[in-house]
Amino acid sequence: MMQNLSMHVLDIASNSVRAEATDLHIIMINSTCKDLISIEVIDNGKGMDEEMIQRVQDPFFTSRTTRRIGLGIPFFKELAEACNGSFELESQVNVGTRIYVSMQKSHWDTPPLGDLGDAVVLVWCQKETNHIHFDYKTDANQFSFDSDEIKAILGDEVSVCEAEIMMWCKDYINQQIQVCEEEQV
Amino acid sequence: MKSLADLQALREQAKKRLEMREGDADYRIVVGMATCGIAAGARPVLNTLVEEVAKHGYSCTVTQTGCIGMCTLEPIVEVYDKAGQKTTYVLMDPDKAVRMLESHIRDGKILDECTIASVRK
Repeated sequence: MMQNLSMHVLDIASNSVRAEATDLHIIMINSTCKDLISIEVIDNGKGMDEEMIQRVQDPFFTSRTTRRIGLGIPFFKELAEACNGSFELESQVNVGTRIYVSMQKSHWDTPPLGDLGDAVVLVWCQKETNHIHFDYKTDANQFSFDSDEIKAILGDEVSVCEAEIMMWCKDYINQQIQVCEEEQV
Repeated sequence: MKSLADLQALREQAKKRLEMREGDADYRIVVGMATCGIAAGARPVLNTLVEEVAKHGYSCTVTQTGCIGMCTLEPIVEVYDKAGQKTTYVLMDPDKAVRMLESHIRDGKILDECTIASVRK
């Protein structure tokens, strides 16, 4: 099982990378007023047809060939169900996929956020030419991370996957999340 | 407080380090990062590898891959040398990752106690 929400983010967004997405949008809402935490991943990957949308929610299905069961999406769905939330999966072939999970923030079983900066950067490093946009929203604040902004500074010579750049991006994202949370109080 | 301006300075630092590394790296390290790997703790292993490689300037690259197919042995780390020879390390943790780097990447000696051969007899 996944110990925190960032692990789900990493896992679900990795599906997008494998589905040949070039554009990924990850939106996380952490709202005390609405007593809600939600995670949404939208990609422009190759998408799924109606039959496959049903099958990926079954643990005994996977598109990979290295093993016969796939647990990423079933785990994510179970998370919503366990935490009094909802699960949505929409997809269109050759257009992309949107997956959404919400949880009751104050629910006993809602996991901690985990290292979100790490998750976002690791997803980006799976294919650094991808465009990744990450939004983090609280009741009063919002932070956006956009891979294009970083690339504009780095230029062509230095990759985001170089250790010092990766570590900086992780810390930067986590720090901005922290700021969003602190200003709220 | 980090600002995007800091990133510019880091870019120069990374550039210098890359210039010092002549040609291709000697080794390629691949970490399995599918659902099974993530759940088993591959993330701290990957992060340790990236940080240690940068710190000591080891001649290798660290990348991610999906499921390698032996989920019960995750976290799995594969090391490829320049000839394409693969060594598979299994049931890894951050401590073993550090020892593997020192032994295999720095000294060129396979860390036998952590390879797949050590669990599959």
